[in-house]
Parts: sequence; structure tokens; C-alpha cells
Amino acid sequence: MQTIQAIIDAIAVGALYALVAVGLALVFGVMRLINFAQGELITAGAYSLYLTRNLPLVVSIVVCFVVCVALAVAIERVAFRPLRGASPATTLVATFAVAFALEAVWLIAFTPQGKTADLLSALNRTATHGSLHLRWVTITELVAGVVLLGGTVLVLNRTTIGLHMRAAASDFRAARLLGVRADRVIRAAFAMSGFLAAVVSLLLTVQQPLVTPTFGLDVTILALVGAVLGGIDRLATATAGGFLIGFISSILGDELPASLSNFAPSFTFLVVILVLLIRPAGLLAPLGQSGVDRV
Amino acid sequence: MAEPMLELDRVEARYGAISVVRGVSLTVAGGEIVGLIGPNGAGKTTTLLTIMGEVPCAGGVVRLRGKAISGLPTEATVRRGIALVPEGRHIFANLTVAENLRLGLAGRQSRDGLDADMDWIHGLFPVVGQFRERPAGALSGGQQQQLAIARAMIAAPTVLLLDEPSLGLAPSVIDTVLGALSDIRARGVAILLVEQRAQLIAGFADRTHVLSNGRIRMSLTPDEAQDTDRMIAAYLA
Repeated sequence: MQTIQAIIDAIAVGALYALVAVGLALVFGVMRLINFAQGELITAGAYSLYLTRNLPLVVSIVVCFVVCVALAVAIERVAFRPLRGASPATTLVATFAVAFALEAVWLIAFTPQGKTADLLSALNRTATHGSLHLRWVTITELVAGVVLLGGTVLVLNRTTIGLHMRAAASDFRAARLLGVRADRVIRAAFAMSGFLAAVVSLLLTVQQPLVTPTFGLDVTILALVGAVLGGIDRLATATAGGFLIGFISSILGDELPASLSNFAPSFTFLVVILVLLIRPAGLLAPLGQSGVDRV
Repeated sequence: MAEPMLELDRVEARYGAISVVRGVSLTVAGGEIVGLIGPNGAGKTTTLLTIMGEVPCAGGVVRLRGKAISGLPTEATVRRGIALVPEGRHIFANLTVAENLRLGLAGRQSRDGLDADMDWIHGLFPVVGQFRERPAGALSGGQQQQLAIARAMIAAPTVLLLDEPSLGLAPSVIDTVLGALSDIRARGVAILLVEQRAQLIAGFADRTHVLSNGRIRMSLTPDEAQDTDRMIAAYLA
């Protein structure tokens, strides 16, 4: 039963990482840009939850979504749109710059000391079924993962903006030559990544209510590694990669002996290095696809 | 001659310091097919991309119905009524045929008359109706070319630009494509057709300009299509 419990927990963690990976892959798809500032969106959402902790819960949640989506769209408008057409190296450096700048803002505004955002701490309560003890947050993560991943697929497959995003992800120049508006498509990708970041903020503050300036960084880096591991150029493989990395790190955290559990991330990254040496385009990419992309 | 739908007036374009299009002037009226031929590197594709706003117009002006459109972003140019069928077709292989067609709506100004246009396009290219749900990448080269033209026509353009539509196609398929272009012309669309197959196009278009080294060296009527000596002279200019 303990094994089943560990697997369910790992699936929930995987779902959370998959959501972060989807946010990264949506932006990567249309811009060929790895948005390192994605983690700052999660941090911003978490701080907004701290700031609105005395307001009604619904208001707090709505503000969190508004902050994350607005910040994502603003980052695109201010930092990335002026660089449209610049070399990939330039835009990559710009995403670092945005991430560091925002981290500095958090440091100045909130100091390095953690701020408590425990609005949804009720989700830490346990639901018991036989000898299975599940925290509500685990169940919420599973449901949120399924609903949001399904929702993303629906938006991409059933809406006009989704069709335009898929076309732009496949060949942006050809899409623009058909009249697809680059600004709209890119804004939509950033807005969707902001929306997903808000959900991750909400769920992550349940597990670690102490918000620090690097709150969203670790989960983003690990999800990015997962997305690359799966193949970041396709939404499905990036999502699966994100899920896998979350799943593996959760299992390793549970199963490794206490003396080694501090090294769980090292083991995770070791697996990643080995996989990418053998399959540079990603574990789940079609056979024969080259993963080499000069920046 | 009828009022020009599309007019290039001493248009110039360059990539960095290299001048590729050097003062090209031409007009295309509604219901007219104008050919643009020339050797590799003559600046044919760049001329089309400059009209689309994809390559900046470094000099001169592009006019649509008498109004300057140079400097507009590509998306805005498309919505003004100019559609390009690019070289290599640029079909979205992982999208279905129907989805590829729907993408053409991005450049359409209004949904008015869409159903009638769809019927007409399906009549013109039955293949796009036949393989609606198939991934576009599974179509043959000729079918993809038909899809690319159909997709461009969904936008209901007044000007249609085509870049080497016959590239890699069997002669019978080329006939189908040229037949479709005649039908499109009959609807009053102005067509600018870039091609490598000089004699084929010079005989088909209402007039054909020979572009070499970024300049128009010669203009031919269909009667002059067989004048090989003149054409070779223009190519080698």
C-alpha cells in the first residue's frame, strides 16, 4: 500500500511539473525561446497570494491569476517584442536578464526572508481511504493537471487562436504570410503560460507556504530539464518529459535512503545527462531527429 | 490598359549591403497574369517578399489600388488583399488539409461570401475536399501545391503572388495548376507569377518580364515566347 501511495504522490508531483513544462513549451513553440522568466511568474503569483492573504480567498485567487497573466504579457511586450528577429542567443540572454531583474525586485520588495502564503493550507488535510492516506493537495494536483492539460489541448485543437499557435509553432514565417498575426499568437502563448504559472503558484504554496525570491526557480529549472528530456519542440513530449522528471524526483526523494536523499537532484540530473547523450533531441522525439541547435 | 491593381514603382530591396532588387517597376491589373522570369539569384523571390512586406522596401514604392502599402507588416499586407503562395508551398504538414485551409481565413477581411468562395475553391481543387481530414504532409507534391493555392484563395485576395508553383511537379499537374490560375484570373484577380520555366510562362501570361541581376531587362508578349534568342540575351544580360 505504501508503494501505491508513493506512486500516487509521484503522479501528482509529475502533474505539477508537467504544467510548468507546458508553459515553457507553449512559449518555446511559437518563439523558439526558452523563457527562464517563467519561474518568476510563479514567484509573482505566490507573493500576490501573500499580499492578499487578508482578503477573501476567491479574491486572492483571482488576483493571483491576474498578476501572473498580466506579468507574462508585460514581459513579452517590454522585453521580448523589441528583440523580435534578434539572434536566439540575444533573446536567451534577455530571458536571463528579465529573470534576474525580477528576482532583484522580489529581494528589494520582500527581503530574502520567506513570507508565508498559506491560504490554501486546508488542502494539506488528509483524505483516508482504507490504509491509503492522500492529502487533498495531491488530489487537487491530479485534477488540475488533467483538466488544464486537457484544456490546453482543447484550446490548441478547437479554437482559431490555437490553430494559429500550432501553425506558428511549425513554421512562423509561413503562418505570417497567411495573415496570422504574430503579436496575437505570441501574446496568447505568454498569457496561457501565465495562467498555468498561477495554478502552479497556488498548488506550490500549499506544499511550501514560505515564499522566497527563488520560490519558482527550482521547479522551473527541473521542469525545463524535463521538457528538454522529453523534447521541448513538441507540446506532448515536453509535457511527458515534465511529468517524468517530477515523477522520478518524487520517487527518488521517497525511496533513497535518508543519507542519500539530499542528493536526489544529482541522481535525477545524472539520468538526464545519460539520456541526452544517447537521445539529444529528447527521449520521446521521433527517431533520427537531430537535437543540435546552434545558438 | 485597366487600372493597375498592383503597382511596383522603382522598388529596391537589399540584404545588408547587397542590393538584390534594383528599381523594379511593373503593374498587374485585375484579371491579368503577369510573369516574372529570370535566372537563379535574379531577385524574383525577393521582389515577391518585398511586396509582402517580408523584406523591407529599401527604395521606391509598392501600391495596391493606387495606395502605397510598402512598410506595412506582412500580416497587414495580407489583410489588404495580397496573398502569396510561397516557393516550396510551405504546407503545414502536421495539420490536416481542412486546418490548412482554415489558416487561409487569417488573411480574409470579412466572412461575407465565404460559403460561396469555399464551394468555388472545392470545385477548382476537388482534392482539398476529398482529403479534408488527412494530414497535409501525406498529400503528393501536386496535391500540396493545389492546397497551397486553395489556402491562399480562401483569403479572397485581389492580388495573388505565386513563387515557382510548377517546381517539382509532373507536366499533367502543371496543366491543372495553370488551368486553375486561368479560372482565378477570370474572377478578376491580379496574378503575378514567378517561374523558372521561361517559355511556358511567357506563352501563358499576358506579358512576362525578364528579371536579371535585380533589374527588368526585357518584357515579352505571348507571341514572343518562342523567341529563344531574345530570352537568352535577356538572361545573360
